[in-house]
Amino acid sequence: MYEGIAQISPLYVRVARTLGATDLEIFAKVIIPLTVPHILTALRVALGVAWATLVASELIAAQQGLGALIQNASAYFLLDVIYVGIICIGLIALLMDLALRRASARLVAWQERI
Amino acid sequence: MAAVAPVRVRFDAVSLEFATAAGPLRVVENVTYEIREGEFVAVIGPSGCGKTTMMNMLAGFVTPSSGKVLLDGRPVAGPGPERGVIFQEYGVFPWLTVRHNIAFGLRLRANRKPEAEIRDTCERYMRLMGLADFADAFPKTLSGGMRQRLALARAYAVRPEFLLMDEPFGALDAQTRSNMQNLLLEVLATERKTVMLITHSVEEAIYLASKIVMVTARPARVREIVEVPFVYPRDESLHEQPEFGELRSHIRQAVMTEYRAQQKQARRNSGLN
Repeated sequence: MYEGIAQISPLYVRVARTLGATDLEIFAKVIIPLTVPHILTALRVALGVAWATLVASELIAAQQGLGALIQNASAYFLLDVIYVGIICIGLIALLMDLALRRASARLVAWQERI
Repeated sequence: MAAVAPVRVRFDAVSLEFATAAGPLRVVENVTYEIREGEFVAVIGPSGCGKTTMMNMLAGFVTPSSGKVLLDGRPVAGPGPERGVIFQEYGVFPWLTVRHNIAFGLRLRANRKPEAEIRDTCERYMRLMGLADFADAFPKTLSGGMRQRLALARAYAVRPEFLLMDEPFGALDAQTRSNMQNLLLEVLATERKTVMLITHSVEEAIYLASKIVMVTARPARVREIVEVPFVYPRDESLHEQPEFGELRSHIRQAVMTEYRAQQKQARRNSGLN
């Protein structure tokens, strides 16, 4: 995030200034739109880390939910239930990532891509 | 007529130094000249000589180390919407469509206009600059010439009194550049502005400007000021006139002399290191 803001070209800020923008307007109308792609990238990275942490903690300490389901099933060696749990976790993560990617595609349609 | 127009901008013994590791670097030295209402002043000199810095001082990005840049008699204090700036790198906002780029300035508090008027202004300049078919396109889909037209439209939309242009057509190919020059002359004919153009192209300076300020190799000093004798409106046939050729060879010679001086200076400096 910080890197992203630091990389903003001073050209855009200068242009906005010459058109009469105040500091607040520059922040709201130039810095923020230019930061959105970086915010989205940071969100995706954070989502991955959050999921990994969530799954680990679910498996160790949960009383209810998918983690507990897998834990209990493994105690009784119910392989089918274990797989249901694993697939559910994977699917939910995939859906969240997909939603985020959709949102990014809409929000940063202006970006030049290779 | 030009002689009676009031002085709008005055560079008064302006000098500028940058602090570098090797000591102060003098970029602009004792520059004095005036820009009158409605004049089109081209500043020409070898690249890297400090002419852009002169424009930055008038735009309000840089403050002179000594001397004054006066705008209507008052020293320039920061950028303002009455001085529109066109950059070589266009500076169109990539996250806004063509229409919203033009509207950007009009939605700022400094020159806020009612929505209906903003729409009209956008339509007008899109038509004038040939961008009407691209109203809702993002700049990434535009060519270099179109991006520069968009930058011009955006600057014009806030109705500045001055237009400061820093090698605006430097990044364009020859045909697009010549188109843009004609477009600029056309637009200026309908809405007169006081213009300062930074360029390294001798032809461009003569074709567009009413006055040419030639500056020396760094530090930039005023070498010579010539009035361009041609009247507006101008067209391509100007290039064939004998006076055009004479003026061109005179200015080119001056620019080349300064360029060589700059090269020599650069060699001397690299010899020291």
